Amino acid sequence: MIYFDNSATTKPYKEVVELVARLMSEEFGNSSSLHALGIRAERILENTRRTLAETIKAQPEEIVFTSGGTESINMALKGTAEAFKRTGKHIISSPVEHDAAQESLNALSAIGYEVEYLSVDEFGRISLDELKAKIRDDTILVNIMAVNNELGTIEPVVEASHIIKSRNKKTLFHVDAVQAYGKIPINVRELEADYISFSSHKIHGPKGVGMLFMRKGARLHPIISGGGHERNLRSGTVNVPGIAGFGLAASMKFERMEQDSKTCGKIRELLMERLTASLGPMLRVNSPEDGVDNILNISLKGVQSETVLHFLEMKEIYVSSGSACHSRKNTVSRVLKAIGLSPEWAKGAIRLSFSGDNTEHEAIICSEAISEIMGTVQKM
Amino acid sequence: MEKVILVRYEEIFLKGLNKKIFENQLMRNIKDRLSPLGKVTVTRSQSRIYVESSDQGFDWDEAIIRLQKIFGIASISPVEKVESDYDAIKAKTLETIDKMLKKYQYKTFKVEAKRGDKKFPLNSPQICADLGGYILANFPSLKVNVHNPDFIFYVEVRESTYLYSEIIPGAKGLPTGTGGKATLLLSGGIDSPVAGWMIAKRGVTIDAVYFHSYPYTSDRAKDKVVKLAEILSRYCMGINLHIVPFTDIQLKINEKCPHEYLTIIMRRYMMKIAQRIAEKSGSLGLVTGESIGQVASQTMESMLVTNHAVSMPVYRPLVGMDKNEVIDIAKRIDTYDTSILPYEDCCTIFVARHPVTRPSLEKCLEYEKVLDEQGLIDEAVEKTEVVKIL
Repeated sequence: MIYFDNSATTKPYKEVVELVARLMSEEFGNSSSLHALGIRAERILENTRRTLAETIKAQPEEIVFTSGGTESINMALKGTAEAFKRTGKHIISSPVEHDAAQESLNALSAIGYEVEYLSVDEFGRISLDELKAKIRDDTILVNIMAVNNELGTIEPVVEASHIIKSRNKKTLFHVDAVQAYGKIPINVRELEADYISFSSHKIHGPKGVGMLFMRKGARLHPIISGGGHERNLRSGTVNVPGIAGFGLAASMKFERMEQDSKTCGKIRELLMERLTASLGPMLRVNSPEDGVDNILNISLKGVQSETVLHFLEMKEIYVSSGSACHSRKNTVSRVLKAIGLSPEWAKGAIRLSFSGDNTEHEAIICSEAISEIMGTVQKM
Repeated sequence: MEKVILVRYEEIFLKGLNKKIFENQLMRNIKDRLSPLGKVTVTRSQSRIYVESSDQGFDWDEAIIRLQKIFGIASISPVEKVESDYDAIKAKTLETIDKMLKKYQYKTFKVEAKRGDKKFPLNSPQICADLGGYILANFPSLKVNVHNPDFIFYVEVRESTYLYSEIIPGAKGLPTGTGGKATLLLSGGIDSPVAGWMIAKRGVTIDAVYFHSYPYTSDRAKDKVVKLAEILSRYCMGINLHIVPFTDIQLKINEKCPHEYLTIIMRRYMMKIAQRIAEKSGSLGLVTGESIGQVASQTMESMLVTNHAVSMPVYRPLVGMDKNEVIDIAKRIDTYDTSILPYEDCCTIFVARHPVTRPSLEKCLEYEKVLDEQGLIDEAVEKTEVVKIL
């Protein structure tokens, strides 16, 4: 099996699976309980919070645990919009965000918020000048992802944060770092964002766990009500084993970040080289040169991406058509539309995404498989 | 005193010698669908069917849900059964209404009585008047309203007496198994499950055929069709789903025939394969979800061309319906939510940009000549997988 769909989700590290399983049976206490078992769970929770905070140079009290990237993003966008509705109703966003952000913004726009979108270049990169020009006195929130999940494009979020803060001190900034975490450095001393969303399962941690960085002093209106866990920001009995698994996955991932990046970069290069050689004008590379090493988005001429996906699946090679979330909607990806890709190319777009577990040999097999398929699949 | 479900059927269809066949089949179907829920007895008396169970754990609510999906049933009522003794009837009436008033805030009622047992000392109007007075005396919060009551309390005096207040409509139609067998061309769309349901409603047993184009379409598309067949089979007393590997045929057509004729030739192959499967399984006709003019392959001209591919009758129960009418039925029979799942079925991938809307049969036959029809169909039928859905 060749798993080239690591941006959809990753295989958890063996050590992570073992830790989560052990904690589930041995440390099942409720971290809010007053007895010894609860206190032990709380200690695990707080130690993990420290570990994870350190990976982005944040303070432990700036970390709120959630059920994943989607919840973090919903909480940041809806929670700030609600908390600052008296300050203003103007929100700025990039048009190539993940559905979690896009749908949250749609929900806000439906209840009277004014959401304005920046234009992007052919790789989905926002223009900083345009951002500067669009920030107004009543702009309460700017939302930009750090790494695009479909293309691997790295957005200039650090520069954006400086522009935002110099234009309007009251404007808050949310960064979706789900695809960036563990792939490129994120340092909250440089990136002046108020909120940053993270997910565990994209870095070999368990699913159902995520976190939201909230800069000291930043506030928001909780979207989940209940017993007041996580400093009243996110109620619900805390998933201590899952969070501990996230912490271990992050430690392991950060240790091998450089090595993984090298491996992925090599795989990406090999695939591009070989596919360009064998397919020539039938191939279009949609990802930018300077994107993250672990994502390669390509378009194949005259075929439907889903067809290629199933042909590869028969050879036990797993990839994504455009983006995993879109493959169920039967429409051309919103992101590919936003970067101006023609429908002909967009229809045949596939995303290959790698992890440190992949090998160069797999890249060779996969490129050969794609070339072979392009020879046999009939063009529509 | 026990719980019973009273099942009514429409006697209008049951004439002469057929009556017994229909009744027996209906009772068998009821028994088939309810026996997984526990020990159950199904009896008939005076053109009514009674479902009884002495099983403590019998799931009565589920039984009512299942009965609503059995064709041939006009309506059902959960009833309380007592011996036909007036004191016993009165006692049970109190108990039943007391229970009902604890659940619903009814203010008005009327009594409707039917006396089938002429030996019973009171006649129907007398039962109504006397039992109505008895209820009023015992439940001061209730008033009689004969025109628009909150609930009607029904009393049927037969060998035993049945008390009930609820009449739940049934699926109508004729009992499955009394109308022969038909083979349904089932896609993942909205129409074909509805077409199958409509034919099944007339007592027809359904076999389904699905054309799968893996890897050009996802296995999720197949799962979706299996799910649709499962929903249908709750009405159809089980369905055999034939999954035909269709990729090779589509590729050959795509490769060798003019593109504007792809869809129509593909439809003709589907009909031919369905007919072969139908002949093998003893079906007497094919069923499709076509409706005139809905898409290019469903114009009158197209249907003439696809019809010509087979000798069996092709039943098209939706032929004169609008899309919204079909959607209404799909929602009522619970297939709609599954039908609108977005996985591509084989029809959406191999389509020409401008499929012909007025195909000519002559041209079709001419274009098809390049294909090894016998070989292609033999192979597809041979590799067909059958899934038995109960």
